[in-house]
Amino acid sequence: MMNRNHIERLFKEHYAWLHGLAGVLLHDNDLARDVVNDVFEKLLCSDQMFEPTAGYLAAAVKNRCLNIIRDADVRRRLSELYFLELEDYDREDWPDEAEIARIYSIIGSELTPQCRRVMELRYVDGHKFTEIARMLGISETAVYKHVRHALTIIRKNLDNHG
Amino acid sequence: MDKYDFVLDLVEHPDKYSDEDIAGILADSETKEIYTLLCKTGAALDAGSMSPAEVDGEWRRFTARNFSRHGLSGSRAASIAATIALVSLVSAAVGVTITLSRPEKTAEPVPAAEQPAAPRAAIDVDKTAVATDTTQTILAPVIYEDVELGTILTEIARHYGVTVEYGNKEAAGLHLYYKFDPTQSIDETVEQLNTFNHINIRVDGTTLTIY
Repeated sequence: MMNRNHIERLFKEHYAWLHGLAGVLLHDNDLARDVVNDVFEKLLCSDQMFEPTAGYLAAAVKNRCLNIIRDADVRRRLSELYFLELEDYDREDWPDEAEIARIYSIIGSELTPQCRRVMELRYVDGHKFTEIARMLGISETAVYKHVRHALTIIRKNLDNHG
Repeated sequence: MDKYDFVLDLVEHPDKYSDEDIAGILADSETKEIYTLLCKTGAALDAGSMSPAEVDGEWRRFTARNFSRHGLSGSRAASIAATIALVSLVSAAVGVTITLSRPEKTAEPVPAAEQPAAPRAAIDVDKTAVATDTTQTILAPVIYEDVELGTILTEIARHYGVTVEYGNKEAAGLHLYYKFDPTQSIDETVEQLNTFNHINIRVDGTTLTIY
């Protein structure tokens, strides 16, 4: 069994980016945390001498995420914003860090603060449109328009960059 | 509704749509592209990083789950619980015979009832609990909390008058939560310890071999 010091070192070195990877796949911090914890729990049972590479850990996390996605039916995939075809996770070599970074920077530079806030409330915190409307004191239609606007801007800017 | 409307509506209200509807809407490549973009946008928004303090918090949570009072890795927890009666941390005062004086527990006067009512100590009442109602202080259970196996075995060996040999030195460094009952036989004790992951002890006459 891996001893405590060994697993602690691995945990502190890799946890943050593995959690980020799972988060990007699952869009759910709690689920991401479960996945990464699961990977480290399995590591506990492995041989003391086993030194996992970053690639090994990434694959372990990604596989668990794909299992979760695979179990979701199409409606759940839609509501969770998973790709609808599992192959898309491989074909796109997902997550494509460069593309994620580009989208993130477009969100930062091209959207108004209110628009950005709406996107975060909806797609990070998972609030429904009605809740967001109430929280920001705007109409549900306005919330919807912000999201639509964000998408068109991101799409336009991504196309521009090729 | 234009394509953006379709995508957003699909995501917000997927239950409104049948499988055929969904397939039909997403058959259009541009609509599919917008949906894919929305997935990637979700990913971009989720791509945060954790601070070292947050990672430390996660580590503490991890240790609480995996190096917990129930022993080592979860898969063994059930069997460990079945053979080792766990005592509340409150009664860490060694030497107190089994009666557990947790305030919320309906304390039974019978010393054998050290069993906490909590389901997690879901165990048939340990025989050792019964035995100890006749104990004097020196034969009271010893509770090891996150103690190295090596230390535990040294003390156990002293109690039984045996020696310890390590075929596997790594095992000595394993940390356990274990309640040792001095009134039970060495075989029983060894059997309990062997239920922990990666601990394998053999009794050979007057030697305990860890392999």
